Amino acid sequence: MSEQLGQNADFDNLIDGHVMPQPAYQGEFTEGEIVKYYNPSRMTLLEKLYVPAIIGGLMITARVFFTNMAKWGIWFTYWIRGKGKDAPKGAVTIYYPEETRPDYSPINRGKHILTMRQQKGPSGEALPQCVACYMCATACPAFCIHIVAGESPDPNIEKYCVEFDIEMDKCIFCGYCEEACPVDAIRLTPEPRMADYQRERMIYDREYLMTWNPTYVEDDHVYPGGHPREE
Amino acid sequence: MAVDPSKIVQLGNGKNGNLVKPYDANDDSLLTKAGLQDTVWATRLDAVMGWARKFSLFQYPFVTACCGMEFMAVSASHYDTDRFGAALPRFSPRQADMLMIVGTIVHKQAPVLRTVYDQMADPKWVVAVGACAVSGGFYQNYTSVPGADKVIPVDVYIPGCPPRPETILDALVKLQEKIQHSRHDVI
Repeated sequence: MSEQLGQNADFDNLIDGHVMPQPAYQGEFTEGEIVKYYNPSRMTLLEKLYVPAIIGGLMITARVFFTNMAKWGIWFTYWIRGKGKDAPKGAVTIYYPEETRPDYSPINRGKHILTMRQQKGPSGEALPQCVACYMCATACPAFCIHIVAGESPDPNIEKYCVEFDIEMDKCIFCGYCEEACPVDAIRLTPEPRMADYQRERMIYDREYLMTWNPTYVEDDHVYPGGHPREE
Repeated sequence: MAVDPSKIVQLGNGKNGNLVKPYDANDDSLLTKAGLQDTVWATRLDAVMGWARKFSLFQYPFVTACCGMEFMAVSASHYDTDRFGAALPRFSPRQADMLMIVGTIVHKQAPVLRTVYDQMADPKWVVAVGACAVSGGFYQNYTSVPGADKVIPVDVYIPGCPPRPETILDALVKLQEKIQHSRHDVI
């Protein structure tokens, strides 16, 4: 081996492609001995027999199953008394479309809304709070906000957004637009229902962002669409 | 830069998610093509087929990036896709019904994704999970495919980075609705 590899001392320890360790003390192993690198088996005889371990695993599964069934039995005693809503459930599963998880964060970042002004426009139309300063579009790391600025119909207001499009398929829900906004015009609601069949439908325009209503959480957490800004 | 106004699709009333009916149940174009629209009365075997297929979605998770962590949370017991019949991941595309693209698709991976999609047997559906799979997300560079639908057709898009489990479950329900309302040829 060492003749093929030359006189390099680093390769002299190569046996079958593995580097032989240096002996820690005299006589730990002799040259040519195959050193076993793997750990010796520490399984007992009971574990080596394989069947008792399988039975033990099945007993764990059965214990969890029967514990959960007993919990559902307790739930059933509540349910037949008409108190099914107060009963503790037998499983940790949250049955999502029917019920929502209780610790769903009210500040979870989901679908956007645009807030509106309390004062209506001259012709009675709803005006967005947005002053078209482009700070959200600048802060957006995904470049998914597209604003067209225009002169506001209200003479007291200088500028507003004629178009405000958010490409929801690109949005990463970082909340930087909410942070950057100086007039609290854009907010991220906890609403999670955003999946869609077509990508073209996922570009939300200004009217939709001002008028859609979140449905996910209860009233004390909701920022409803078209809600006037809290002064 | 503004979006081209001609490309903006009006969202309707947009009430509580945007429900569409992709397939008209009274459409008898197949019968018309065969010249049998006056003599044959089409019944609703489609509905039974769709009902059976929408509750037995065997999924192939094509997990390439960090959305896979959220995907594991959806599969685990707190959210549990088994309630929708989409529990068992088949790690062979030949046995799968639903391809879930979870994560960024780069140009080097796009042929792999196409191959996996071609190997799946009909009927098959595709769900793009996460902003990267839907549109490339914020990876607007030369390596990333701007959306998995540049490679294969996608049925349901799930935005989010990563999407919440509720969003994914909502998309599963929407996909089931699409399957229920789509055409299922028996033979």
